[in-house]
Amino acid sequence: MCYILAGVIGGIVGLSELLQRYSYGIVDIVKTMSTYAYVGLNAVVSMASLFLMTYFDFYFGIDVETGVAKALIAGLAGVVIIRSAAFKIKANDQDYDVGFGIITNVFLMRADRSFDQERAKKQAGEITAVMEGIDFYKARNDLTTLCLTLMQNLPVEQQTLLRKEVDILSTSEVQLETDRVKAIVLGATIAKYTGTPVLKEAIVSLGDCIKSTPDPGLDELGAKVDEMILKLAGK
Amino acid sequence: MTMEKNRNLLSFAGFLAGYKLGNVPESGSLELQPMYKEVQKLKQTLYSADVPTAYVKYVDSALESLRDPERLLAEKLNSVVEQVDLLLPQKGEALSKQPELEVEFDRLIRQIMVYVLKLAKPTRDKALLQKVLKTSAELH
Repeated sequence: MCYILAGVIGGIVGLSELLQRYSYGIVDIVKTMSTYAYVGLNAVVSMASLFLMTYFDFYFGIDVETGVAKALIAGLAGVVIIRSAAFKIKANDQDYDVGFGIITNVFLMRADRSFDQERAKKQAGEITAVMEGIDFYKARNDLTTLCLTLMQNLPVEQQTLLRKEVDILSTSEVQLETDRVKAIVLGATIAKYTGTPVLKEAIVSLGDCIKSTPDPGLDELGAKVDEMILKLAGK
Repeated sequence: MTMEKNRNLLSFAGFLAGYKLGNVPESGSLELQPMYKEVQKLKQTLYSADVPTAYVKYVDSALESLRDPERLLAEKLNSVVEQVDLLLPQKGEALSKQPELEVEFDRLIRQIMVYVLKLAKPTRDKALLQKVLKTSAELH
């Protein structure tokens, strides 16, 4: 019974980590198969920590009597031991972690990556469809700002990060050949912070304002810029 | 307890931002660094010419805006063009008696504007492009 309780607590901790790390809705997370692998692994880790705590009779200095209390400590605190390095050893001028964490983190990271890949696969088609016909240059500011405004509780640091990422996409440092790809990457970048439903809603709200239409004036300006670069560089 | 995962690394653009954090040039961006160096040379040239500090302040202001991590690229370029606009009319008064420095000044301003033009083009910001072209035309 105690092991089941420790497993449930560990599973909840794992689910909360996924919710903290990714902006997908809880329904999307629950629908993803890899979620169960990640949550299951966390449950096993918690049960293992309960076993070790009982075996070594170590309860973090807390005087526990009941099995439920032990399960709670294993689920919430015991996993720390299993998922971290007990100490570091230095060899060849390098620090090496020693502890259960080396093994458990490999499995947990693999499960986490598998979750990421599964969600990315599902989202790729969705984002491509949503960003169809969107002009990157018209959307980069308005769409980003509207999405951020719609979000009521996005931390300021993440808002700044999103703006920075969008700014980087606008520069020639990111060698994306077509505007269509830029638009898709913009959508994926925004969705990473706000989730796809908010992105969809913002695109509907902005309507034709951000749809791509040919702009001969801008092409003409681009040609003038090229011409001017040649003139100035040639002097 | 949580596995550390840098949100910066979750996308290609973020990866580039993260990569640059470890190799941050003075201007804060690899892309802006060549222009930043030219603006610094311009400042040195003005110092050598012993011009009034008010002229150097325009260049300082351009350098500051290039370094400002809060500003977006288009804003930085806009600010550089504004400072060049302010500096150009003062050139005659400041450098007319030092032809060698005047030649160097012209060369640096042209080079800075070439960088601005190159960086401004991919932004597709109509207002910025028009402004940059207008200032460049005065040099030409």
